[in-house]
Amino acid sequence: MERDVTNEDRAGMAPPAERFRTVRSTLIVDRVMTGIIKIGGLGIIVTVFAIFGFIVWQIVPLFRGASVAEAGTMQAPPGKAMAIGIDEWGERPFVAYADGTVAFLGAGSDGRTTVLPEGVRPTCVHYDLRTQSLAMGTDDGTIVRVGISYSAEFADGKRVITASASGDEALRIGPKGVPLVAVAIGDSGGDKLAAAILGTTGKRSVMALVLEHEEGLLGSAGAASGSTEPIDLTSLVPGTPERLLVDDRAESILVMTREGDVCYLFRQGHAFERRQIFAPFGDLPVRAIASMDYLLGDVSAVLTSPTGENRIFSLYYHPGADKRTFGQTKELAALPGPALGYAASTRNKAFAVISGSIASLRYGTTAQVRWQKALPFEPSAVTINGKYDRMALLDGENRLHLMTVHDPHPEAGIRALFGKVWYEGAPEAKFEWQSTGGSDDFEPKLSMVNLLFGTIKGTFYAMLFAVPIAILGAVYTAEFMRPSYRSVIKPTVEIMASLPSVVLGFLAAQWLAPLIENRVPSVLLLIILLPASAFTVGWGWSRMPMRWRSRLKPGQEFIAFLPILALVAWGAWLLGPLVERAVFTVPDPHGGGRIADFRMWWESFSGAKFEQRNSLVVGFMMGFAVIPIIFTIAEDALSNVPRALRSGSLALGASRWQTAMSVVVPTASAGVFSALMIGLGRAIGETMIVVMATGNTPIMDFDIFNGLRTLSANIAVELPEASEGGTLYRTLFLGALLLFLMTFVINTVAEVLRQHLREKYKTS
Amino acid sequence: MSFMNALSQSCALVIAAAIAAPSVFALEVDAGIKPYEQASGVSGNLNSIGSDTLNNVMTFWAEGFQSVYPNVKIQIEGKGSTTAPPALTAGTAQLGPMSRQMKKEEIDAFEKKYGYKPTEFRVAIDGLAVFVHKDNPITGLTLQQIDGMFSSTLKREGKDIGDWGDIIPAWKGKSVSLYGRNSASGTYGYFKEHALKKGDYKSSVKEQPGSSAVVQGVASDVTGIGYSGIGYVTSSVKALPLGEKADALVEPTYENCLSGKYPLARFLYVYVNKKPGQPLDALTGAFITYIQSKEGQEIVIKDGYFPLTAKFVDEELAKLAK
Repeated sequence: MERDVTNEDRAGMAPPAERFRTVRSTLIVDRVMTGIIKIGGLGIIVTVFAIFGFIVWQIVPLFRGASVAEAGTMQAPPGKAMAIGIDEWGERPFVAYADGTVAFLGAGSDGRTTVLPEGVRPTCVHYDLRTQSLAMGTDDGTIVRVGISYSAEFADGKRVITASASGDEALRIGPKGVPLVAVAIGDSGGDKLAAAILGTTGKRSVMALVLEHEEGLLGSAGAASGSTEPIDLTSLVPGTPERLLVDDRAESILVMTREGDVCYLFRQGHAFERRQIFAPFGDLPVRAIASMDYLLGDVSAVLTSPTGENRIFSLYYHPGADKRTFGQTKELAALPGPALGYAASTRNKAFAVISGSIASLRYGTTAQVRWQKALPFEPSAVTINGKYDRMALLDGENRLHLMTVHDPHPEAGIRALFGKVWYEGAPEAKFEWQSTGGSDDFEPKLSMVNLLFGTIKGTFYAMLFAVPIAILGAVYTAEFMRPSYRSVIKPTVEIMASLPSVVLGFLAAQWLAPLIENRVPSVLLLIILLPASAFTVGWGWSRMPMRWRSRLKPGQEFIAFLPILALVAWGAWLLGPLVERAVFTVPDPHGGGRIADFRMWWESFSGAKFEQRNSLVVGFMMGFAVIPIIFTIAEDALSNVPRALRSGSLALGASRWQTAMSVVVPTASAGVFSALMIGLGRAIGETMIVVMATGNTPIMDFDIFNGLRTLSANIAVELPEASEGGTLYRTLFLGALLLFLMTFVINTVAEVLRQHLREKYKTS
Repeated sequence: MSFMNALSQSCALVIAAAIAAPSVFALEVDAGIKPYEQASGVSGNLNSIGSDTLNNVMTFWAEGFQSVYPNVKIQIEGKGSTTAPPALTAGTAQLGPMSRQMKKEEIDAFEKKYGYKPTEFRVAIDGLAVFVHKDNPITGLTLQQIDGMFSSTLKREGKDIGDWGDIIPAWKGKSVSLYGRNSASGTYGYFKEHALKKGDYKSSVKEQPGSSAVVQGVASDVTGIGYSGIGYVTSSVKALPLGEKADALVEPTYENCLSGKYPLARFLYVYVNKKPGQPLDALTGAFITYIQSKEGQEIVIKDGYFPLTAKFVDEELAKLAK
C-alpha cells in the first residue's frame, strides 16, 4: 500500500498554495466526463429495461381474453327466421326465412329474394360459412343449395358491398312430398356429398347423394359422374336420427340420434360403412345429445348435452387401430343448458354458442372460454363473420344484434404455450411446435417447451464437448506450457473465436454432418482413444529415463506427444469401419448374414432414429465456437494468479501438477467459473450454427443422434413469415423473452457463485 | 440469414444452370402468347419478397426485364411464400411471388391496411416433385405411401412407413430420412394440404431453408426423400411418378399436370398491391406483362417449370385492366 501524502509532509515543503489547486479546466473536464459516463451508464440500464419492456409489451396480448361489444342493431323483416349469416366485413347480414326467402339487411337492402322453386317450403337449413352456402331441405324430398355471394366494388375509394342469393337446381334425395328433417352438404371442391334425414310419420330415414368430380388445372374435367341415385343409409343408423353433419372432404357423415348415439358413416365411392357408434354423453344420467356441430376443418365435433355439458370429439387413430375414429379430446366449461345456436369461425378453431340468454365464445384447441356473457335478450341464432371480428345474434323480435369481436390471439394462452395440448388428429395430448400451415383450417401448435428443450439439449452437448477441452487447455497453457509458446497459442485460439458462426454452420452442414454420418464408429473411437493415448503417453513419459526427458525443456513435452496424437487419430479414423464390422452389425433381412452399419445398428439398438443432422454435429461445431471463449477467459484467470503463490507451493515441494490443481485452479476458480458461464451464455444464444447444422426438428427427445430446434434458431427461421402483430410474431417475442430470462438467470446465479468463490479463495 | 440465403441461392443457380439444358427440349410456349412489347416510361426500383420455389425464375425474369429496361433495378429475396404477404402488406415489396394461394388470414391483414384485397396473378405451372436419391430402386409412390412417410396424423389412412423395407423389400432395415421445407414455404403448405390431406408433418422431417437445400440433402443421403418444385430437380435425384392409386402412377410432365392426372400439379403465383379501378403502376404492370409474354414463359421453361397456356395468360392480363 502506498502511503498518502500527509499534511506534515506538505508543511515541511511549504510550497505555494496554488501548486495544490487543480487547474480549472481539469476540474471541468472531470465533471463533464463524470456526467457523460453517468449518462452512458444510465443509458445502458434504461436501454436494457426498455428492450425488456418492449418485449413484454409485445407478448402481453397473447394472454388476454376476447372483448366483445355491441355495435348496434338491425331490424330484419318479420317472419320465422331459420338461419342467419353475415359477410366478412360485417355490413350486410342475411336472414333465411321459413317461407323460402332470403333477406339481406343493411345499406341498399332490396327486399326478399325467393330462392326456392314455386310451392316448396324449407323444413330445415344448414348454413356453411366456409363455402357461403345454405343447404335447404324442403317439404318435397329435395335439397336446394343456395349460394350467398358478396362482392366488394370500389367506387371513389369507397367500398360498396353487393349481396345476392340464388338457389341451385333442386336435388332429389327422397320421394315427393316427404319433408326433410335435417340436411347437410359437404363440398371438397371436387366431390360433393349431400345427406339428409327424411321424416314420414313414425319413421325416419337417412339418405345420401354422391356427386363425383375430377378437377384439373384447366378447370373441371367433367361434370358429375356416376350414379346420382340417393343411397339409403337408414339401416346403418340404429335409433331415431335427429341431426347430421357432412365433412368438407365429402367422405363421411355423422348422424346424431335421439337415443344419444353418434354414428360415423364413412364413404368409399358410393358405398358407406359404419365405422363407429359412440355415445358422447354416455357417462351422464341422461345420455341424450342436444347439439352437434363441426369445428373449422371438419375433423372435430362440438357436442352439448341437454344439461349443458360441452365436449369436443376428434378423429384420430386410437392406439392399435388402423382407422381413424372419434374420441373425446376436450371438455369445456358447462353451459347453463343445451346449445340452441352455434357458429364456427372460418379463421381459427373458435366457435360461438348460445344457451338461454348466455352467449359464449370458446376456443377448440385450448378448450378455453374466450368470452361469455348473459345478454338482456334470449338469442335464437348466432353467426360469426369470415374475418372473426364480428358476431351477430338474432333476438325474439327479429332484431339482429351486431357485436364487434376483438380477439386477435385466441390460439395462444398459458396452456397452449407451456402445457400439453390435445391437437386434432393426435392420439394424445403433447407438446408440439408447428406454427404455420398453408391452409386456413390449420391448427397452430405453439409449445415453447419443445424450443426450451432444444435449447437446453444443444447447449448441453456443446458444453459436454467444449468444457473439458477448453478448461484443460487453459490449465495446460497457463501452468505447463513454455511462456514463449503461450504467446503464440493464445492469440491463435482467440482467432478461432472470430470465425463467423455462419461459416461454422456451413461447414457443419455441408462437410462435418455427411462425414460423421458414415464414420460414427471412428468418431466414437476418437473420443475414447485420444484421451486414453494422452494418459498413456503421460505415464510413459514419466517412466522414461531422465536423460531422454531432459532433452525437452519443461513445457515442451507436447512436442513428443503431438506425432503420437496424430498417429492415434489417424489410426482411430481408419479403425472405425473395422470396429463397425465387428460390433455394430444388424442381421441382414435377406440371406442370413449381418450388415455392418452403425446407423441401422443404432436404430435397432436404441429404437431412436439416426439423423444426419444430429446433436453430435451441433455439439462439435457449437463447441468449436465456445471453446475459444472459455479458453481465453479461463486462461487469463489462471495466469493472473500471483506468481508468489506458485513459487511458494513449488518451494514447499509440491509437483507442478499438485501446484496447478491445489493452488492455482482453486485460486482462479471464480474466473474459470465466469469463463464457463460466458461460454454457456454464448451456447444458449448461438443461432447460425444451429440453424444450419440441425434439421431444426422441434422434437422432445434427448437422443444424441437426433436433431433439435433452439429458441434462437426458431426466431431466425420463422421471423420473416410472421406478420407484424400476429400470434406467431408475438410468440417469437415470447421466445426472445425466454432467452433473455434464461441468460439473466444464468448470469445472476453465476455472479452470486463467483462472488462466493472469490470470497472463499481471496489471495490478499 | 441473408448470407446463408446468398450461399444457397448461388449453389442453386449453379445447379440450375447445369441441368437447364436437358430439360428444355420438349416444351414450347403456347403460340397464342404474344411476344413482349416495350412500353415507355418504365424505370425505378422493384422489390420482390416471397417464394423460394420461384426464386430462380424470378431472377431470370428480372434479368430478362432489365435487358429490356436497363434503368430498372430489381431486388429479389426468396425465403418462402409465407414471407410474401407480410412484405406486401408492409409495403417493403411490390411483388409477392408465392407457390400457394394466400390464406384468408393473410388477405385479412392486407385488407385491414389498404381496404381492398391483393391481386393474384398466375405465372407458371409446377408439378411439385417428390424425389429420392438416384440410387434408390423405387419406381413410384402413391400419395398414401407418401402420407405414411411424412405424416404423423396419417389422414390418408395408410400405414406408418418408417423403413424403406415397407415398400422395397431389398431395402429392409434402412430407415426413411425425410427432407422438407421450413414452415415459411408455400411448398411446405401445399404439400401438407394436398399430399398429407392437411395432416401434420412428423417432427423428424428435416426442415431445410430452401428448395436447393432439400435437393442437396436428398442427393447426399441414399435413404433420403424430399419434395420441392420440379424446377429444382437435379441429376443426382430422381422425381418419382405419383398417383392416388398404385396402378395409376404418373410422371410429373406438362401434360399430366394440365390434365390433373399428376396429383400435385399447382399454379405458382405473383401477388401485387393493386387498387381496384386504377391501373397498376407502370413498372409493376410492365413486369407482370413481361411475365405473361412469350419471353417470360420461355424463362419458365428454361428454369424447369411448365408455362401457362394462352387461355390463362389472357385471363391474367385481363386482371390488369380491372
